[in-house]
Amino acid sequence: MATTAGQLAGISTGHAHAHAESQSFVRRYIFSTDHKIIGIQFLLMSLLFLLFGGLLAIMIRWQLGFPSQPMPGGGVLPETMAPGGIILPEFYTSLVTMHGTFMVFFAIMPLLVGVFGNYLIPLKIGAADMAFPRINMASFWIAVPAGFMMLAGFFVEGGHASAGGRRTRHSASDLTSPA
Amino acid sequence: MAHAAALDHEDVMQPPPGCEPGAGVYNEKLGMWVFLGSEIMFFTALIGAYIILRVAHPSSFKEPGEVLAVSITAVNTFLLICSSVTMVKAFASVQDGNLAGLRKWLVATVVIGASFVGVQIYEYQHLIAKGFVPSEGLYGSTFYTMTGFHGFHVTIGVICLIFVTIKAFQGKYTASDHRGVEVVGLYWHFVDLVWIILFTIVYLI
Amino acid sequence: MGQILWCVSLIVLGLSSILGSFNYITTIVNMRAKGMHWMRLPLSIWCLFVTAILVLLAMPILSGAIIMLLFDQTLGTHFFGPAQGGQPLLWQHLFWFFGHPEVYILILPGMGFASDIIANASRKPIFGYTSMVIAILGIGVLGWIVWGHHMFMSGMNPTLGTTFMISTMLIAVPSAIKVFNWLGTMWMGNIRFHVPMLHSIAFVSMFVIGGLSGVFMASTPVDIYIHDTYFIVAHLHYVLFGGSLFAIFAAITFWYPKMFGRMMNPTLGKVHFWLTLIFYNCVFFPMHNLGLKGHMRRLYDPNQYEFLKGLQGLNTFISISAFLLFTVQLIFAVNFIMSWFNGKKASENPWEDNGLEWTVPSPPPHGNFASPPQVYRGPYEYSSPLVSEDFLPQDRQLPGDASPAAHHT
Repeated sequence: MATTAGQLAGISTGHAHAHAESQSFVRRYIFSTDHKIIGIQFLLMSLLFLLFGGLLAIMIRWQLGFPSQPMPGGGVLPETMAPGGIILPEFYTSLVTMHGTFMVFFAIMPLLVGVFGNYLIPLKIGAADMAFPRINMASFWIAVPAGFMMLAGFFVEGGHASAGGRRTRHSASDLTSPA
Repeated sequence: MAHAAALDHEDVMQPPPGCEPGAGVYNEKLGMWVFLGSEIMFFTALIGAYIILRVAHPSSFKEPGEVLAVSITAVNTFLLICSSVTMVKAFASVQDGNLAGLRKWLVATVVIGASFVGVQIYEYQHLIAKGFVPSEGLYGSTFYTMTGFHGFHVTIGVICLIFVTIKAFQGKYTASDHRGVEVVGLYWHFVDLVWIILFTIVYLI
Repeated sequence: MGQILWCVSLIVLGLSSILGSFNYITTIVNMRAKGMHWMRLPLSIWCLFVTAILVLLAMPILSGAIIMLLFDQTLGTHFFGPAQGGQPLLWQHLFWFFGHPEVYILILPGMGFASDIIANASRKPIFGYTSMVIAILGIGVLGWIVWGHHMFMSGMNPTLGTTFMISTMLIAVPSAIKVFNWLGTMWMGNIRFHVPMLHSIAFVSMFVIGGLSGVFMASTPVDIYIHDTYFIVAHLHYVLFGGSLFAIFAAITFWYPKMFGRMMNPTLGKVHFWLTLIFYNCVFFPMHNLGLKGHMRRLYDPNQYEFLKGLQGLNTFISISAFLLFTVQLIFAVNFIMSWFNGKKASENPWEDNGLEWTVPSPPPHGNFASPPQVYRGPYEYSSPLVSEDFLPQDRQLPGDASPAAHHT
């Protein structure tokens, strides 16, 4: 919120395109205010999370298709998740929760809204860029640490969020149950 | 026609030039209005939770005067309303090109806003010393969450106002471009309005 | 600890989404080029606009709810813990008051992309543009009053349940309008079955299946039976994978040339599409049957129940199909990466589309347009008798078209 009001209070960035050529690589491709670059950044980020969410789904399906058998390649997971490649019940419930969380919040939503909202809106309505290019950049660079925080949850004590048996058992699980 | 378009281009307090008619205001102002819509929904969630919990468990909530110091908060509410008035005066000054007035009233708003936060912190310390803490039943939970997030918004507002005041002293605002003053002013009035609602339902009812 | 990280991460992501959406809304309202009236906006932009409003108003509700959850865990407050009078149901209401608009956030943009691509590939104007816009707005409004259908099993008053059932079924009306309009657009069209179009047709068909299973859940008596079973999982994946993800594949393959200046390989694209469609249905269609036989969601080991033991064969079949489904996505990944470096150079307008984005080079330069474009018509003028080509870009001035800038007051 501080960013928003601060930016709004600042000078309009509408004339930022004038000096595109003079921008360094970092300003042009990493901390870029160009809606097209931000759209592509969202695309790459959310496709990676889509792949990750798919991997979680594969582990869920392994447990359901071949209950309590060692998962091929599951040996790389630590003892607290899958000792000997056999998925633990606690890890299984957090797999389900995190599959839903990653897919909804870090894959599908950024893919639909972050990628194509950014890329298409100015191009299709005939504008040079977004109304607030710097806030647009902030939006992407706030989403990235959120994704890392979500990933970090797998490696903390007690495992990641899961719906089963916790005090607030409706926290994350209901995301995957729309009825 | 071309002449009119050229004039448009210089007037940053108007909608962006060369576009279809939109909201009829410049981007920063429209953006702030839209953003405030989001803020309304955020406070709706907190206040709605308070109302539901209070209606469901009336016995968990004390009468307003029993725990909370209504009189000191009433003074604080008056302070915040005054800061809205000084904000309006600041905006009116810059519209007239009175930059000295703008600086004076902005400083007044910052001081009053900061003292609101100060009084709230004092009130918290006082309440916590009396044993009324956030984990004190539903009353403590809802009270500290709602007023705390409002206080957080006031703090953000004071920070933005300091930013605007510095720019005012640098002479960045004129009668023809004072978007920052107007946009932060909108946010400030919103925060004030939320407090009036909170004061009513938490301290008076 | 994991739960705390979950909360903080989603609060931060919520802030990011709100910053994005108020930017989109301001841009669409205030920065449309001259002549781009509201009723000349492409449907993808209409959908993204309504989606941005939904994000703007729904995300703060989630943030508020998660903040209370976080305080319950860290500060010892009692919002949702029943021991001190907290209300778990309050969490459900807040979550689903966000959650149902979120469902439409996840499908509306897909509907928009499919509308653009289907009209383009059918070489016909979109069928019923105005009704499409009204349907989008209708979904956006109705999405706010149906959240209770996620909570039929929470012990709510049956009268309230019936209210939510009716409002939920009302949403079928705008959704069906959209489906019939897509069919009407394709009807008698000169269809080009390119990869984005294949994905869009799959989107429409899978969305219909997901929509129909949604009607089962919307009716309270049926929902009580299938609640918390794999029927729900099947429905969710039919709308989220079959709906949203196919629309995403359609959109990526359609706008890839504009984004990267190169075409994706159409052969690999078609192989990926057909294998995905087949394995996708192998994975998720049998889940309906699992659910009807009583297979619970989030069940660690189905074999601990006697009555589910007979379903192990079906579960194994689903799992093997899922592994194959995951594997064929690598074709897409290979196509995506290879085309970036080695794809055929894309022309300015490879799909012969009317949108303004196809009037600039691929990829567009910084600042997009060399001079501000002027718009003379809507985006779906395909096979127009006025021109010799079968498409008519939005910014092409024909004799008799008055310049929109002249009307400026």
